[in-house]
Amino acid sequence: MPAHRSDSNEDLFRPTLSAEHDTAGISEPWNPLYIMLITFFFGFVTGAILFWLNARRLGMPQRTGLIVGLTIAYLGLFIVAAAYTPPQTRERARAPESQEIRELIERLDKIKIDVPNQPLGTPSADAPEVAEGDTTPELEQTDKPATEKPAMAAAEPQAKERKSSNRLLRHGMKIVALLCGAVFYVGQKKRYRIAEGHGIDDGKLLGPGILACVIGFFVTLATEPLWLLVRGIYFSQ
Amino acid sequence: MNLENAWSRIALDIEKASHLREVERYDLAERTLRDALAEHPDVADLHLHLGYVFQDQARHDAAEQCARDALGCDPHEGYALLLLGDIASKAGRNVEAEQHYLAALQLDANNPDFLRKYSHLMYSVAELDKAERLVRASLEIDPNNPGSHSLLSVILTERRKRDEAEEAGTAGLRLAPDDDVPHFSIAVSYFHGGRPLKARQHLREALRIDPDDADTQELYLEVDKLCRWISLPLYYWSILCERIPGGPFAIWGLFLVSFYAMEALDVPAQALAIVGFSYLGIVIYTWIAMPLTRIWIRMVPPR
Repeated sequence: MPAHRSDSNEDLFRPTLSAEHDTAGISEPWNPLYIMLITFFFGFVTGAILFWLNARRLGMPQRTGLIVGLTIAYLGLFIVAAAYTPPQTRERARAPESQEIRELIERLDKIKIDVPNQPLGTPSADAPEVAEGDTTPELEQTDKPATEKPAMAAAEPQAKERKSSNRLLRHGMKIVALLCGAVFYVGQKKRYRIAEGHGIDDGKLLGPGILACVIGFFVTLATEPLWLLVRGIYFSQ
Repeated sequence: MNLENAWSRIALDIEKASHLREVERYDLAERTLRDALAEHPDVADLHLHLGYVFQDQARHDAAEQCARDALGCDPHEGYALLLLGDIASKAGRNVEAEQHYLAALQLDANNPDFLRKYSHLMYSVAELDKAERLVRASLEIDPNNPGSHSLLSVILTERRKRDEAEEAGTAGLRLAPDDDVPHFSIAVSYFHGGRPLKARQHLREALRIDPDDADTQELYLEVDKLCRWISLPLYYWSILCERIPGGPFAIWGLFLVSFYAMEALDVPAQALAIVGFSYLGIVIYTWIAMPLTRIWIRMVPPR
């Protein structure tokens, strides 16, 4: 028989478990991985509400403070990020851009090129000869034609840039949401595994999930006046 | 001579009660042991086996009392401590269970049953490293215990040491081919190792041996669901996600980075569209695969 209690195995015979390994207080928990997926698809606030409820179901109410704290920090970051993103990038702020383009088109419409009624390709008798690359006299007569053309050309990269920064905000916030969600997930994973290891049945997530989605939507909506306010203060300075 | 007779009668009663427990005649087992206890109230083994009868019927309070009575008769009865540990662990009082197992190991550190039980407790609370070391220590002492091989296989599967897990599962199966536990544990190993059809085959075998095991039934239904061709790609997708740190989120991040990189490199819009729609296709498929499989299962129920 091998001498089993060797030095290398000595720690095997020392107690490892603490009160958090007991299943007391666990009742119908949800799989935190599913909540992570909900966070990904339906937003951070929805996920945070579910993580908060799940912390109670997992019998770890002491962790709810962290969830509330990180949620407030996330919303603060979202308000600041949304406020400092160029105004045109937000859906509601697209009107000025359209207006600008519309004005540009209207101005271009006003440019009248006096072309006599004759077949295409045959030069008019009284039309001045135009060398290749020259601007037409009519265009030169119109008001500020030289600035119109570059403005039109500049509009495209500008729109691209705005679109890109809007996407950056969206994806950036999603990554932050996932990182915060990962913090909650790691905190709840082990406890959920203990519940699973003791055959404790999962709770139903569908109803609370839908409710959390609705609340999350309204909370996100409620931040809009705040970031508009922050933006107003920023731009007024 | 009389003492010898008495001990052999006690041994016979215990054996009889064990057989009655196996065929689930708990009332008869209890009566046999109570009769024996009426004659020999100081025999720890009788109290202990009566405790097992109660434990089988989930009468945990009565089982606990019997274990304590057994310890009252013989404070060095390690198996009574083991029973107390089992009862505490089932009730989720894991700290208390650990104390009982450690007390049993204090009495005999080389008992493979004590080591295996303690390992199982560690596994149930996800202390996988310690669980593995304990069960390996148990196997060092008793290498032919199929239960230890099966437990090791399940632990290694969760620790993502798939080859070793299969090896341990196969060893357990070789030792007890007519037992449902090794079939179950190797099925778990195959299921997490990307071989669902083999897993289903072993689960069918386990169910043939013990058709009433709830865990096996549950896993069989799960595996059978994923073996349908609609959900097989979903199964392999989830295996892929399981093997990548960060899972589906890491894949989303990869997609995002590649999409931005392609945009920055002025890759044609058609190529961007192909990448974008492929990812969207995968996402939509992962949403609809399970509902479709459920409909299919209603039409073609599992055998």
